[in-house]
This record gives sequence, structure tokens and C-alpha cells, in this order.
Amino acid sequence: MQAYVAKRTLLFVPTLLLVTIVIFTLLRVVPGDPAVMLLAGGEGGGEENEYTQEQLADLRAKLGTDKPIVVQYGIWVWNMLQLDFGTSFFYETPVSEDLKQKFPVTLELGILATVLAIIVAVPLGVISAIKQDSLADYATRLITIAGVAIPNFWLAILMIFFLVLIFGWMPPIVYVSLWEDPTSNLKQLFFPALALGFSNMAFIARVTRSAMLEVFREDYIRTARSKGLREAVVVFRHALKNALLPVVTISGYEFGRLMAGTIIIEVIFMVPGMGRLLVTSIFHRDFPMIQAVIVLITVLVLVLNMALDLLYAWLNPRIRYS
Amino acid sequence: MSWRTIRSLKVLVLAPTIFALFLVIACGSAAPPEQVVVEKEVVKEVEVPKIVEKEVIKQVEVTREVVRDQMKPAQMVAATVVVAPAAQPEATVAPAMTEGKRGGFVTMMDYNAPTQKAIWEWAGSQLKNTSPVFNGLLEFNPETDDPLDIRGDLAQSWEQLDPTTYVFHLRPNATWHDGMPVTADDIVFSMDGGVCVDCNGLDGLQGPTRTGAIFTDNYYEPGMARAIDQHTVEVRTLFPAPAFIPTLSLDVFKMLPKHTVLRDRKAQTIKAPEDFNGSGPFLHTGYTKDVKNEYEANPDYWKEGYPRLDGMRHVILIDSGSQIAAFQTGQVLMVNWIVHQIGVHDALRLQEELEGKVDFHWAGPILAHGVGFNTTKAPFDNIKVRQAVNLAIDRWEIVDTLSAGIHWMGSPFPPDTIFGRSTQDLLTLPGYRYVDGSGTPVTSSLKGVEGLSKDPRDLDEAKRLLAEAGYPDGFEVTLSARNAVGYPDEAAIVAEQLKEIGIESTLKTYESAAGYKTYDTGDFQFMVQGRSLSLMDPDVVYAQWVNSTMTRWGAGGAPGANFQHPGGFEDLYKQQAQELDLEKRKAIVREMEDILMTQDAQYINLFWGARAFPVATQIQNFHLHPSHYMGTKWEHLWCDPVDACR
Repeated sequence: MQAYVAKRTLLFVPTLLLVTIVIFTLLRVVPGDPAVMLLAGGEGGGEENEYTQEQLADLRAKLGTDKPIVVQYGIWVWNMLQLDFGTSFFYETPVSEDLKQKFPVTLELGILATVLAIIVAVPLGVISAIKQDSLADYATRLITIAGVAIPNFWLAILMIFFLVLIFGWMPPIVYVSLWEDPTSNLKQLFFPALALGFSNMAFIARVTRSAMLEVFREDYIRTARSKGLREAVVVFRHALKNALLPVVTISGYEFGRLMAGTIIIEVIFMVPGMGRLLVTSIFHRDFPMIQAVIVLITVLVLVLNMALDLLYAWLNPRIRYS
Repeated sequence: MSWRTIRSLKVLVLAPTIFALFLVIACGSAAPPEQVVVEKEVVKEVEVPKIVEKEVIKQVEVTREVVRDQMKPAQMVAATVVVAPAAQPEATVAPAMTEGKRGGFVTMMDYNAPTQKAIWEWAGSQLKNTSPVFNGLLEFNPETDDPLDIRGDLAQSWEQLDPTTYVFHLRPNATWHDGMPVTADDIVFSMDGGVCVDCNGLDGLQGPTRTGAIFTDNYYEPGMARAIDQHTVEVRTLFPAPAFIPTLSLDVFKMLPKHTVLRDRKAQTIKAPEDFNGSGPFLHTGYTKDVKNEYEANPDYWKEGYPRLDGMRHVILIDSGSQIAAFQTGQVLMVNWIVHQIGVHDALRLQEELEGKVDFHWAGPILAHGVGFNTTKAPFDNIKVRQAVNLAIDRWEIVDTLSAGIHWMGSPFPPDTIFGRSTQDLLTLPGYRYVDGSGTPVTSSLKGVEGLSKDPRDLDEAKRLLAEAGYPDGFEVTLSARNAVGYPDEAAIVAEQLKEIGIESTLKTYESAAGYKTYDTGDFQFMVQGRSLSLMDPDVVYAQWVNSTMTRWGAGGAPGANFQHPGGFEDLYKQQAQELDLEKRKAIVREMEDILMTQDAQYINLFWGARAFPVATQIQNFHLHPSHYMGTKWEHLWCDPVDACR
């Protein structure tokens, strides 16, 4: 197992290197000069500043974007190895400060969405499997198919629309952290988490249902029933426990995917996390910020994937990594 | 296995219970804050002894008087026109301290995180957040509906000694937040600092940027101000400039404390608000990046009775849907700047929906959108093609489609202003002529006219010009637009209209940054592009055609390139900027407009635009100044009832 972990960890290096090259190159290939964006503004509200070529040249020199791309890349990677992610072009503050501020917000949103998804999905999947081809099953399948099909940003917009239209209410717009005021924090994050986790919930519910149906056909379930065990014991102790293995795996992978989903959800619900930071940074062509956020997400997904593999092996002793 | 068995299982009960608990917590006691509808109170003017200084020259007031169907006349803020000083002198007085109710904590909507530009870089996008902390020398009076009423801010009074010399008398009791007095030295330092980037070796200055604006550096150079005594400053201008005082009165020209700036060796910016040492009505108490800026009333503010609010919070909302929902649910009470993402149609819908709760003030024209040609590339290197396009565009259709008639047709100078033509005049000129369903020319309002269409004479003339230019069957061309502030929509309408004369346009849209790069490299044929205006003054309006990014793009985009208009347009521009006689200045401005309308223009206006400024009814004493550099100090606002702003 230790050898496996070491091997997986070593594999992080080429993967990360590849990601840094891709993101760095893409940002430079896509048209758009950060210096021009800073001087001209104009996005969103429409303020259109004018600038001189001297100002443009000075700013490029200040930002370092006038250097050859290879040199820029080298500087970035070298600094990153020393955990220096650079200074934001737009905010002119260290990128690491922003990551420190925003990451916990996104992480909280992601965890809340996953928790909500699992809380709803597992019972739904179980009920659907137990009551296969019943009205409850059809209803569950309808919900889960809708969940898989509906993009989360559209669901988020619908949520705000109906909350405002019917209740004249929307989540608080001023973010407060969980430690400052848990109630306000939950008020603000519940609906974004719901929008974010809905598709996960649908997917997990479908996987749970399939896994349960498969397990129900196993011999040991028939044996358990023939022994006269109570149905609840059969379902929860024998069937669900085994059916949950793929659910755990899927939930973990979905968590990684969900981090990507936060990008648009955070913008719609005004959550000041990494997703919103990424969007505004893209608008501002804030290269250091975009690069750092993407590298961080990559690391997160890599670590998560490895952790899931290990968890899977721990949950299912038949699996052995070498 | 029966359903009854499963139903009894604790876990299945527990899961929905937890879910419901979340729901209860999340929605909990969050009843929407009730919007309180109150009657507006009139500010009560209190007589104060007026300090009458020497003779000064009055700014002549001109207001636009077109009242539009969709707007409440009282809420339509007229376009300002700053004109040459009139002959008769009149005393300038210190602002009267109005007495009224006070109190309230206002949550304002902020469309974007503040940029990191220093205060002297004159960017409205940081001004919205720094303005409450600082003062200017003068200001457009925010307590009146007269958009031309200028009053002293740090200056108690001022006088004009001769056409190029002004003397400002400072308020003797004005202090910085650190308790030091505001002195003439601070003013001289700030006057120079604003126009002389890096003169003081400060960190963080990129130099002034432009927002379709002419700033004080157009009229003033370092060293042209001097302190006469501790509270008196003399300022000279480079030439007799009728627009100098109004320009100086814009909210961007903030005065900074010399001792603090020189001590810290850095400009005051929002990235280090803890370093702020202003003289303004509010203390900046916190900035949570991407979330909010917070302010408290300055307890030692030297203007008696101000600020009236206890504090403010500027909440950053970058998505238009969220901005609208925040107003609908009463979570924000006003915007903190004229720039935001709520479009005209959404604003009109909200205005109707929130009637009695939120007033929508409309300011304009404060922006212009138009079509710019790359005159170095075929087919727009041919003057006749440019003229043909100018004639063929249906400006009213654009105004009506985009704004339900709120905007104005895009003549070079805004119509119905002192320097612009009247709408009636405009409707008789080629390119602006319309006929009704029976073919009769329309010479007054175009709104609601049945069967309205462009005068066929204009289209025929456009086709003739194209034929003369060698394009009798028209041509195919690419129309570029950045994907921002409605440009693609406008481009689509223009493309459709130009089909009438055989021009087939392929629309090419760019993400903003990519668009700028394309224009800078001259890799376009023609484009839709706009700008915002600081003042409705010829200096500002015509700057677009004299030496701007647009004229550089029009000449191919290379550094130093600049499209030259015929008829000595550039010389006329200089001439009008120094003309103190109003009638003579008007005549020059009209001559310039004629050149752009009938001879050649590298850039043609499609429309002059207005913006909505929503303000909840419990906020009192709000008066909109129609400029992108409107006052955003907010010292004069208060809430009634106070509890409605918490």
C-alpha cells in the first residue's frame, strides 16, 4: 500500500507540470492583454477608459508580460515551488492571500452540497429500489433524470427567480463566514448548495438504486431473508452496506466535479469563493490568479482521487493495491 | 418486504428531517426586510450668513427639456451643458448647510470590486468606493436638481481674477482624519499630483486614465498653482478655459494630505484602505475583497450637520440577475454609482414593479455608442463609403429597440442641448430624415408614428455614393463588436440595416480583452464601440474625434496613429476650448458638427444613452448629477424613517 501511495504521489509531478504548461500556454494563446484590460476597463458596466501607448508599455513592464513566454513560465514555476503564487494583476495583492480567503468558502459550499446530495440521494435510491416499478420509483426516477439533465446554473437562476417571485426573499447578499454567524452563513449557502448538489444527488440516487437492485439479487440476500431476518436488517445491514461501495466512490469523484460547478453557482448566488474569484480573474485577465486557482483545483482533485482509491480499498478488503 | 416496514425505519425519517432542518435554518426567520414607503421630504434651507467674496463668473445653466413618456419628469435628470462664462459676474457662496433629519445605515449595490487605481488616477471604478473618504476643492451641488450648480467643497468660495487665474479660499476649519488642518499646501500638492504622475516618486500610480473625459491636465500643468496663505490658493490655467471649473468640480478630483502621502511615499488606494487619511464625511472601516466596503460617519467632520447617514455598506454584486433580485427583495437600497449591469429594459420593468418603493432616476446622455471605421482598410478607406453608411443607418430604430425610446438619436452633439441641434432640426438633415406610413416627412417626435421608416432619399443617396465609390452592388464586410455592454446587439441591428444598401455584414464578436487587441492591431474593418462621458461639454464630446483611442483605431491602431478630419476640425476644437463667448463657442461647435455630419467622420454616433439610478424611497435628499463622475460622497443623504435603512 505504501508503495502504491508513493507511486501515486510521484505521478502528481508530471500531471501538475502538464497542467501548468497547458493553463499557462492557453492563457497566453487566448487573445487579451491584461495590461489593456487594466487600463481600458470596460467590462460589465461599460466604463471605457482611454490610455496612451506609453502607459500600456509601462504597465506591461510592471506586470512582467513584456518578457518572453518561456521566461514568464520559468519565473512562475520557480516562484510556485517556493509557494509564492505571485501578485494579482488586478488586486495587486499576493495571490496566496486570496486563496487562503476563498478556498474555505468554496470548500464549505462543496461539502454542504455533497452532504445535502447524499442525505437526499441515498434514501431516495433505497426507496426506489425497494419499491421498484411503483409510483414512488417512477417519481424518484423522474426527479433523478431531471437532476441529471438540468444544468446547475439554470436551476440556480430558477431558484432565485421563484424565491423572489413567490416569497419576495433571496439568500442574504452579504457573506458571513461559518465561524462568525453560522445561521446567516447557512442561510446564504443552503440554496447554492442545493443548486450545486442537485445533479450529484440525482446521480448518486440512481447509482444507489442500481447498486441496491443488484445486491437484492445476490444469494446472500436471499439467504438472509430465508433465515427469517427482519426486512430492515436485510436492507440496511446486508444490502445497503454492500451497495454503498460504488456510492462512496461516485460521491468522492462527484465532489471533484462539483468544485468546477461552484464557478457559476458562486457568481449567481454572490458567494465569494474560488469560483467567483476565477470568473472575475478571467474577465480581468488576471493571469497569476487564474493560474493559481486552477493549480489548486488540480491538486485538490488529484489528492481526492488518491484518497478515494485508498478509501475504497479500506472499505472493500478484497481490493489490494500493489 | 412491505413499504410499511421501510417507512418505520429511523434512517428514512432521519434523512428528510435533517434536510428539512437545513431548510428551516436557511429560510428561517429571514422575512424580507419590509420596504417602507414614505413621502419625500423637502430639504429645509436654513439661512446662514453668506460669505460673499469678490466677483466671480457664473456658469450659465442649460437643461434639456425633452420629457419622455416612460419617465416621470421629476426623475429625469437633464443633460448638462457646461458653457462659456456669461458676461455678468455673480458672487459665489459657500454651500448653505441644510438642516434636516439625519440617520440611517444604507446598503448600496456596487457593480464590481474597486480597481486598485490610486485616487489621482481618476478612475470612476475606484472613486465609487473612495469618494466618501475624501473631498474635492469644488463639487457639483448634490443637494439640488440643478445639474450645473457648483459649490465649494474644501473651498469656501472662489473667484476668477482674469480669464486664466482663479483664487480659491479654503474652509478654515477643514481637517484631515488625523486631525491635521487642510491647508493651501495640500491643495497645491494635490493639483500637481493629479497631473504629474511620479512627480513625487509615489508607488502605485499608473497615470490618469480616460473615460471619454477631459481632465484637469488639459487645462493645467504642475507649478501653475501656488499657496497665497494657509487658506488661499491661486490656480492659473494654460488658456482661458470655460470648462475648467466644471471639470475641477467633478468628483474625481480629490484632495489628498501632503504630509501623509509624502510620509508613506505611496498614493492612497483601496488596496490599503487602512492608510486612508482623507478629509471626507466617512471613515472607511473595512473592505472584504469581492464582498463589501464599509463606512462609518466621521464624528469629527468639519461640515456641521454632515454626514447625515450613520454609515454605509457597499455590497459587490457582479451579476445583473442578482442585482435585480437584491432590489426586488430590498436587500440593497440604491446603487453606489451610475455604472451597473442593470440594462434599460430591466430597469424599466423594475421601475414599474417597485413603484412606490424605489425611485428610478434617469441620467443622460452620459454615454455614446457608435460605429468606428478602420480608414486604412477597404472598403472604409473610401470616404464615400463612410458617408453612405452614415446616411443609411436608422438611428431611431436602434434607440427604440434598445431602450424603448429612452436614449437619444446619435447626432455628433446630443440633440436638444445648447450646443446640439433641436430634434426638429435634426429630422430635416440627411441621415436623420424619416417618413410616416403615407410617405410624409416626420418633423417632430418619432415616438409612436405609424409606419415610420427612413426617408428613401437618404437610402437612395447612400446607394449612389456606394456606386460612385465603385460598389454599385454593395460588398461584404466584417462588423466587429466586443461582447460587452450590448455591442453585439447593436451590431446586429446595424448589420441588418446596412443590407438595405447592399452591404452584407458578417458579425464578429470578441471577448473584451481580445477585442481591444484586435482594434489595437487594426485587424478590423468597422466596429461598434462606445464611451462614457464626464461632462456634456464640447471639450469632452468632441475629444472622441480629435485625439482618442477611437481616432487611433480609425487610423489603423498603431501607436501615434491619429485620423485627421477635414475642414480644420482639430483646429476648431482648440479654438472652441478657449472661447469664452458663448455664442461664438456655439457657432464653432455647430461648424464642427456640420463637418462630422456632412463631410467625413471616422466615427459616427448611433445613439446617446441614459442610465438608470435606482434609489429606495426612504433615502432622502437624493439628486442625480448626470455624469459618470457624479458625486458619490453621499454626505447629504439621510433616511426617513431611519429604521428603514438598517
